[in-house]
Amino acid sequence: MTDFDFDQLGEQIAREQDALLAKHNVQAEVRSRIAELDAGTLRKSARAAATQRAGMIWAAGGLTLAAAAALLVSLRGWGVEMPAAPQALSVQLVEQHTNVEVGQYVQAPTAKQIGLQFSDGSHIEVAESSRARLMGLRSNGADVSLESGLMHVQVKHRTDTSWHISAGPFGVNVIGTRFDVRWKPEEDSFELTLHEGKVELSGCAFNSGYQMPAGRTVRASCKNERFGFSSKDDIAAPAAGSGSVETESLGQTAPQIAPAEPPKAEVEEAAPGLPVTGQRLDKPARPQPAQPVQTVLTVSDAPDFRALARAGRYADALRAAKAAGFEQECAKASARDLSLLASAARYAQDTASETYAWRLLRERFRGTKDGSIAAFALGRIEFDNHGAYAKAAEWFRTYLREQPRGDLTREALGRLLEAAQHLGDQPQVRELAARYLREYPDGPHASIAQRLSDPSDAR
Amino acid sequence: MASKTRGAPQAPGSENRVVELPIPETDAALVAALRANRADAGKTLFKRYGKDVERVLFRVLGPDVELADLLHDVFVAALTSIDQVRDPNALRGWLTGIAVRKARKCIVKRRRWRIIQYFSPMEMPESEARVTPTEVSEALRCTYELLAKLPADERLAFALRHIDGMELTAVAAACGVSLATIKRRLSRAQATFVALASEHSVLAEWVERGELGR
Repeated sequence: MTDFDFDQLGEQIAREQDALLAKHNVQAEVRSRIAELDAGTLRKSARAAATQRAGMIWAAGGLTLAAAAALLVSLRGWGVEMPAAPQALSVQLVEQHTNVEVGQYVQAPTAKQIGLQFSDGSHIEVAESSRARLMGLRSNGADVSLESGLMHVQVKHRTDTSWHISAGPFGVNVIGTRFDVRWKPEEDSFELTLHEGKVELSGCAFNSGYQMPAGRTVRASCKNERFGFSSKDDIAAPAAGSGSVETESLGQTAPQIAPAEPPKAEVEEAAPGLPVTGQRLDKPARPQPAQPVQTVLTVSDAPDFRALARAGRYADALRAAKAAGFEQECAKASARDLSLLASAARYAQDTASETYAWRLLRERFRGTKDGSIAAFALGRIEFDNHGAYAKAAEWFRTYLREQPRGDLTREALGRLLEAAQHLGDQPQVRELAARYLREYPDGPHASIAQRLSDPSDAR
Repeated sequence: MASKTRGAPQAPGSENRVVELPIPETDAALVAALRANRADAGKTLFKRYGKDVERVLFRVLGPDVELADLLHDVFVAALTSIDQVRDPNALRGWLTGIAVRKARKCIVKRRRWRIIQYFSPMEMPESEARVTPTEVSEALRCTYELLAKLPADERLAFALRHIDGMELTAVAAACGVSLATIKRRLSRAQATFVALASEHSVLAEWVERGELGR
């Protein structure tokens, strides 16, 4: 029995099958069928069927008590008493009456606003030349990202309202309110004017959460880690008093408010568009009675590399991590954060930091999927940055061994093939090329594999 | 002439329209899009994993007239139960599991039908085979002839391990059993296969010739 080489027979069968699959295009037929399916309807039907099945199972009980209970469940299963499952909100473009789906962008033209009407009565106007994206819809709210420009937001208040507006690295949690939010990514400038209600701001200068009362405008810059606000009602109010309130809400202590006589440089770094006139920052203050009082707070917390990296500011993220102590940050980071840090280092073109983070990720999270991804990344660095093909091959082999069906298996196999080619290992090249073609006949390395699988061409 | 590029963000000032972005390449993003009922998500799922699933079904069942229907069934099941995905990053494995269960169900159903046929000789509806016998080599035909004689679970283990080349851990995961169980099933499948192959006109010759032997 052991004389039989199952794998060789299997390989032969697989090769033949692959050729047949390529020839008989089952995919096209099924693809058209799948394209006609509505996943949402399918899921609803499946849930309804499951509810009915559950009702039938219960109804099959023999005892009177069980039967009574089963009857109740069945009745509920048929929707007699069962409250309807909460449905996600829907949203339409006001003029076109077109549904907007999650993930879609709404781009307003230069001379026209675009209205978005939500099924809960909430409304968003995307101002001229502004761009927003619908990030998510729930039964009690939505996530909308302001990519650039201005949005007028009016959220209908309900007991469980959960709305979130993001603008670059800033976030606005909304309960029920009316406000205008502006985000200029090119200037790193965030501005929010709250007309009614209350919102909670987060990100960068606001740290993890800052509750803002109505009737004020807040302006913030992530780069300078500052925010300031103005209020029509606060014209004569002493800044120190109002500042202390905000300081508490930020979780800061009084001394962390900007000093009464800050260095000149600090004043110059105030958020863009904010006329710094308060008694707290400049001395002597020039009286500007027509202007609302401005208060600028300096937040002493160092920026968090995670928020910066997620905002795509990789060099800043790396700088922030280094300022906080790169090795310490790495040592206490989760696998996800380490991966984020390594990626930030990669995009900031700091190979040494990237390598350090990947190696530590591999060391601390060995045996996990993240650990395997680190192996692939280290292979890529050896290959691309150092031309160390033997080391690269070893890392790619490691990934393939650990994740034979992983997300990066195809890429690892392709890279391994390339590394073997660079090393001039012809038997290995042919074997890998054949394997690649067998497993990924349409993969990105297929043409290379095709060429290398032919011994006459392989050099 | 300007080409119509789908998915590119529009420049400010362009026409008032909704721009649909492609679903990001990660499995997690695709799962999120499916759960959010994005119109193109099902299509993307099939585009990304249709071939993988088809291959798994083909490996397990061999040339089969129901291949397209089974492939369709797998994706319907996937779209229906996408909320049950525990690890959105392991979408491929999850789909493979569905494909294996569908294939198993198909094998078992046919066996039951054969028994019914034995007692009641009613005709099975015949449909035209997609892969005609002339296209199939003797090795392939004989292999599946023998595999058809194995218990369904052993056939699955054998096909996934030796024909698809899956690692044992992946086979175990796809079949939803432990590694030890899959090893036992595979061992029994190998023993039965060799015993049957020795008696088979085509495969016996190969075994004796040692061309496939170690």
